Amino acid sequence: MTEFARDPLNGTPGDDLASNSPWVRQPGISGALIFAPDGASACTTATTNTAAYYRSDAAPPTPDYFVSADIEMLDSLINASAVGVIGRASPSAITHYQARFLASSVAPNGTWQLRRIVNNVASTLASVAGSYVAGQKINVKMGMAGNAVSLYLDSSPEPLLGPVNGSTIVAAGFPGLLGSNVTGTRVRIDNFVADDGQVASGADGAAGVTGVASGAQVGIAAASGAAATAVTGVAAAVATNSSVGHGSAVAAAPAVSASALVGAASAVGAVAAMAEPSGVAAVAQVGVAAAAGGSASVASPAGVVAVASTTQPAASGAAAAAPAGVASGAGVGQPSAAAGTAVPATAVLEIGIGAVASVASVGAVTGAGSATCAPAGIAAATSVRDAIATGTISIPATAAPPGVSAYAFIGTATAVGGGLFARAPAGNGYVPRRQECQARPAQLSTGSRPASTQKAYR
Amino acid sequence: MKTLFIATIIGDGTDSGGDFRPATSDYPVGAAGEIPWDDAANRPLNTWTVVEVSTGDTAAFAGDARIDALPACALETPVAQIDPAQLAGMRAALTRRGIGVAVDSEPTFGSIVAAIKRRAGEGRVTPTKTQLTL
Repeated sequence: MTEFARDPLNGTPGDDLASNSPWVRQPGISGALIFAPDGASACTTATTNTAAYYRSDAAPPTPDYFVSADIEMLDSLINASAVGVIGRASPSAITHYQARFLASSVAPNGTWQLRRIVNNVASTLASVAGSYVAGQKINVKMGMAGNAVSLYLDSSPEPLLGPVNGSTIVAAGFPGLLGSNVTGTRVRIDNFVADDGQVASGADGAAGVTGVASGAQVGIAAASGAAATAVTGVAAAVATNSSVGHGSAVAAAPAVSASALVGAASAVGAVAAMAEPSGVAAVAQVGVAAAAGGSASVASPAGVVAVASTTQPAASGAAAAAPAGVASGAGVGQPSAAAGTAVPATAVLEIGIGAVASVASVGAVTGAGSATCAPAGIAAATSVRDAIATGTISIPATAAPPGVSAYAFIGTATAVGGGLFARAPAGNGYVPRRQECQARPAQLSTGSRPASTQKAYR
Repeated sequence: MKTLFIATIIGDGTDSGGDFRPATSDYPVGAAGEIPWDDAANRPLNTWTVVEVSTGDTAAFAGDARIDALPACALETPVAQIDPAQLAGMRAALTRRGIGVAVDSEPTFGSIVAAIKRRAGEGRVTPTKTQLTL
């Protein structure tokens, strides 16, 4: 199971979603999704009676995949508003499947729907009455496998709707998001994910739900610290990561190929001794644990999920693989975490974390894999050096352990910031002077010979 | 128990509230049904569809001429054991809608339903990707 698209939907408030990669508005669509005032989710514009369909440009490896997002109704004034996800979206026509919640002003306040749009002609394949609680996030997920289309809520292994025979749209297309008829910022969408996990299948409404959970899904549960729901087909893996999310030592699930899951858990920082899944290189995982500082008290907040992504390639890479942006992080972090010292044989990552409010933020940075993505509270930090330079942490220059290049940066930061190579003493009375001496000139034919020496001070 | 209905497909296909959908969608029930598609015309193949209602009160369907109840029995029920009134209702609905299914030649209720779905065009071979323009 491979996650091929993920977006936390962070962006400049008010900007159109299409202004950020990888989002593309489906052709012929005038409705818009914009980034919400919090900059950490997307919402629809105030345009009414206009659908907004956006697709990611991340191409699925096969037509069978999941697409999911968290949706949130902020108040009860969202009548006729719709929000959800789309799949197999055409890049050239308004064609896709969609799973959405259509709000209503009458009890029970809405309908969950599976829909098919073919060249802008809409059909409802399945629907069921639903309700919502204002301010409560709901994860809506659509699975597509062959002709079968299903809608799931909140990681339930059983579909709320489907599988129904969607037919017609069989090309992989692209995953995406939808919103329509929404006024203002009353509906928000967050945490878009698409993966090619095994999707429930079944013809003509037959129950065919097996192996529903995807690796990414499990990873999310573990990293966020929430209890994961056991899912048919990967129950062992789910259970393992559920416990990880709560800080327990990892009990390795044999044959669990998603090493990233364990890595994500260790990013929480609660893992002291971790049994690794068979066949999974542990170096990167331990490195991440070191990054967390080994503190079991550190909560694992939302946003740490991205660690899984970073850890995943690291786990399969060489022992030298380190979290993004951290030189030799894995190697340094590992002994550091075990030692548990304050400014220790000091892991570079621990220094960074000391200056950061939460481990989750560090995890997010690491997971993002971008040196330009700073932890919360260190807005401009692009490296551990910069974090230190901000003065948020004090570290003796002599504490540099061998091989940790970050301490070289400490010296550099001082020189650049102070320019203290030379400075005149404070106060008056120190007047630099220069003494000049002149050799006694020779006597001329008339007159006396000048004094032997003349001195002058300047 | 899930109950089956034959429902008229309503709507005009417009995205903003005009979805092609079974008439059962007008009621707060959980329902699913395939709407076989005419790819060339880009509209439903039929004016009706078989709907499986899994949740909600279907009593409200009574009197709605767009919705016909199929017998409330297990699919493996022999035709001879289907409630006569419900069987007669099904015959009448099939006739009125022009759905040519020989009820009496089918062994069970399930085989009748399967015949109705075949008649609707459900379960057709999925077109290949090259047959579709996305």
